[in-house]
Amino acid sequence: MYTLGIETSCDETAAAVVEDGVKVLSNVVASQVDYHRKFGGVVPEIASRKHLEYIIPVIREALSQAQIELADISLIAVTAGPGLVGSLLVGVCTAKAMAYARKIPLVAANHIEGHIYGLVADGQVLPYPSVALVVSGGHTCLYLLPQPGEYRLLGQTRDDAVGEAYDKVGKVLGLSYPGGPVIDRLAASGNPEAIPFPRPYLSKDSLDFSYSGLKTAVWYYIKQKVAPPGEEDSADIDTKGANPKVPAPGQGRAIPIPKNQLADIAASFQEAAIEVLVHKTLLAAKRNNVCTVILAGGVAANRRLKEKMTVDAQATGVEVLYPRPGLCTDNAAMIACAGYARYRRGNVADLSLNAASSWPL
Amino acid sequence: MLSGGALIAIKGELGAGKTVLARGIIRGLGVAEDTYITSPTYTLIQEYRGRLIVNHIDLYRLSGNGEIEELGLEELIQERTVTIIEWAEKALQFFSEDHLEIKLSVQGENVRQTIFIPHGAAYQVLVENFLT
Repeated sequence: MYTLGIETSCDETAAAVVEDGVKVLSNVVASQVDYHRKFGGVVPEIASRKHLEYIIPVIREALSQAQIELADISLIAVTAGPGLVGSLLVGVCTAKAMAYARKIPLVAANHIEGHIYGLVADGQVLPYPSVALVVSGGHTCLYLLPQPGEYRLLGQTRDDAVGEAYDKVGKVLGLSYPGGPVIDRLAASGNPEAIPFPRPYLSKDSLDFSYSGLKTAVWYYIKQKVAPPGEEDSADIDTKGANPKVPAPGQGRAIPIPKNQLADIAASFQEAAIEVLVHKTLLAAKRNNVCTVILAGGVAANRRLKEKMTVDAQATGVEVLYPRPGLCTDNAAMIACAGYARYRRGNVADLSLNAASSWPL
Repeated sequence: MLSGGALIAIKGELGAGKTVLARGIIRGLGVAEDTYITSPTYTLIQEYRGRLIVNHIDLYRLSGNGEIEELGLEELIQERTVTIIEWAEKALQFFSEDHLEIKLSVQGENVRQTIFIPHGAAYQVLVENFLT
């Protein structure tokens, strides 16, 4: 049975074909480099109009790569939330129209659940019970998975998501977007103990996260310790921000940082960010007597997160699972897998399906 | 103190406390303590329901004016909503009408300066009432 997965919750237009909910036959993401070339343009940050332009070619490409016809598809799974409503609607409306025209069932997939099913798309089996850490540009949450289809939220960020902190720190370090992979690469040659950035633990009992203060601490460190006198970024507000060529103060006017210091700052920031993720995830596992931890979402592709989580988990007899990097970032294969599982649990949507900006698991 | 249709533009560098200030205003509008008010950088817009509907918007990730227009800010400002916009300096052309401008700047690690600039008579009264 072939499932067509559709994902348009944020910046990526994606479609995939998955056989029997586990075997990925194609997985097309419209921000991939060769796809940019194919369509002769860059996928913009927000424009749902662009999703609209790309959605049909991306679906066609997914069918073509899977070497099947639309008529072979028996189920359509579409991300219905959480995400940007305008973006989500493109996927949802397309999916509804296709399900109606082909007279096949439609499933509403949850984007967060999709990230957890990235593991299934990678050919692995979701273990139960387990604890899942979902980390990306927009999400930082811990879930307990007692059994298939059941998710208990254990903790989440109170301010910024960890991926957002990476992007913003990347920007003040003058690195390219997205900041995560670049900081991870730079950190490999830096000293993670060079700068004692704060570990935002909140209270000892809480499994909630906070990354806003860490981001500010890094920016403050650069202004205080790295910026040469007189060249420090002024806190005065000017009006140049209206011009996209001139970044707003503190947002993109990176202070030149010597290369050796850059690697140390990246490594020290990364260590602070990841230490808290690892600590709280393993604490959640211990509290719930769970011996398997799943890493999911774009930040799950981070080398240091995987490394530290695996090493620290081993000491307590916990196993760590994660999808390969291409299935951590937004894609439609994970949506097809999660949607198929929902379908098997008898959870089918009708044509009144709507997009939801927030949709707690 | 805020009434429906209010528009607040928050400006200030990274880490100045824009989201913290926005969170305070949103809580003040009656959004329950158990509702997490998180950074809208990634989601661009987050909607909360308190005494009024609050749209918490962040323009940080947007680059050109085209993208900002596509966000449809004009349509969000309605009679029963309060609109709070972070990184407002990115959409100056949008703030030609009456609004409250708040500038935050970092004076020290734990010190922030807040400047209120009312645009229009209603916001003049609001700021006067707030400061007395």
